[in-house]
Amino acid sequence: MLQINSVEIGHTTALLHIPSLQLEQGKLYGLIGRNGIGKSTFLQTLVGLIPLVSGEVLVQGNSLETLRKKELAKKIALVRTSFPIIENLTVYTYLLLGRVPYTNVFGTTNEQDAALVRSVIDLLQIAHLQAKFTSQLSDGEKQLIAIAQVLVQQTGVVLLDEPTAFLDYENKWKILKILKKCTVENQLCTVFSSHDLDITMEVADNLLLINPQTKEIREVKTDKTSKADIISFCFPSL
Amino acid sequence: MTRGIIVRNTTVLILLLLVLSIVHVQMGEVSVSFTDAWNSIFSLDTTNPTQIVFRELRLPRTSIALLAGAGLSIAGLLMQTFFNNPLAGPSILGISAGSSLFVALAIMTGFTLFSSSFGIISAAVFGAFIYSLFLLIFSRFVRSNVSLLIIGIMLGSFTNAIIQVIESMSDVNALKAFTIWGFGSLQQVSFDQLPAIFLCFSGALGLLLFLIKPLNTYVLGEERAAQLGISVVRVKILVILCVAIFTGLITAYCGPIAFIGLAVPNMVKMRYKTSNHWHLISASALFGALVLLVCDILLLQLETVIALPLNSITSLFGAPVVIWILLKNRLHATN
Repeated sequence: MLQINSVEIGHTTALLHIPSLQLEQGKLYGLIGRNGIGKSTFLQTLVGLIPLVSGEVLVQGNSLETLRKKELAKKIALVRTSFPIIENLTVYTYLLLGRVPYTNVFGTTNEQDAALVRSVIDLLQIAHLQAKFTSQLSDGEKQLIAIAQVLVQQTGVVLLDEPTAFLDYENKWKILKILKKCTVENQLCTVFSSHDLDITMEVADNLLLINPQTKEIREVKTDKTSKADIISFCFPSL
Repeated sequence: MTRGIIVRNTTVLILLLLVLSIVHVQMGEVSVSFTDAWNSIFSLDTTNPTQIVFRELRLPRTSIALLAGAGLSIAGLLMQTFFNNPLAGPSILGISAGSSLFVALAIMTGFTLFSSSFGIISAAVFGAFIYSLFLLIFSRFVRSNVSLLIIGIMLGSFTNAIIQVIESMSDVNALKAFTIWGFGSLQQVSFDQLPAIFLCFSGALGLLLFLIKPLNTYVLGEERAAQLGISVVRVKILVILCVAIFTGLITAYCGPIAFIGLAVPNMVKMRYKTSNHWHLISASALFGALVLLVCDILLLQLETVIALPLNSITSLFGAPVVIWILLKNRLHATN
């Protein structure tokens, strides 16, 4: 699904180095690392918002740098931490905007697009939200519809930058369980960054750990590691 | 808002526009019959004074009122969505001032490149384009809506200062021509200029068609729009081009007209409660045309008592709307 070959990422100079990483579909990955280490930069780079410093990323077999933007938008998507303030936009229209990579130059949507939105609304059980304006939602609901929009976008790879950052304990669980469910049912390759070690270890199949000294990302299976190992790798100064 | 209500609103707007256009075109000493109006356009009788009045004064004035109101409102809406800032507009962010500066250069320094009447349009459009580019560059460095506004206002003041320097150095006749232009008036267009104006206007409307989808996506923020496969560079060029054509064209013929571009789209958004730019653009165009038509009818009514520049009437209407928006947003923030 997502293959990373000796990639260096960063804004101008290399912030992180990834020798080789192969992310598979149907799996939920938790990205863990210190504040400011480059988790967001890493995720933004993978969706093509920031150019690679060096190396190669293959998204479903296609090179990130040669793929056209519109095609890339059908393969990989990123949900950011903050939800934009939008006036006069209903949840339903917001979800329909997930079809933008598939619609024609005037953005006309058809019955199939509407049916897809309805199926995602059913999957996430958010029918009660669809007529509301996005500006009226709580933080948990905003996170939920942001995920729903990405599902409507139908990308094989879904990245989420701290999806649980502003949520209470109950909503954190809810969001991550939904992510787990969608990953399995839709056979997605899902990566989310988080500072909640315990919950992340509970739901993620694999963990991507960032070492602040070597600036490397290492992949480990969640059931073959311990909290102590993770802490000593990601936060060695503790 | 449902489709039915949108259709009803649009119908009401169009009907009002038709009625007020007829009222506007009939304002003045002579009343023009339909036959005279028709003949003045298609088979002009040069001995008939009514036909000449209609062709050279009435028709151009009503046409430019409609186009200017619609164009400035569309330009304002584009800028508001593009900068993600409800307080953006061509006059307040200094774009009109940019047009004025280049027109001032054209009228008062007599650059041969700009000296013809077509030269004034191209000068105004060029000025608007350059200033939109300035704003685009500045907007990359400021995050807050109010900062961009202050930069725009500063840009406008700075430009107006430069215009005054040019004024002080120019000869009396050029200065007079420029001063009259600067008051803002709908009476400077002649019949022969109308086809060219319609053509430019339609061209910009054509470009707009390709902006609807990007603008609808831009409400999610520029980054998410880019992620959804929208070409950000192309959108930037198209937006700046449209804003420059609308603002430049109108500024060249009518002088700077304040507040229409800022106030009208905001009032439309409050009424329509949609973020669909098909509806927002068409409603802003219709309502903007209506507002400027009403402003000019007022101006013509008051003409016998007091001669007001168009700019002051639009400001009387627009400035309170801006304050209202600021207060409304403040209430939003505190709630």
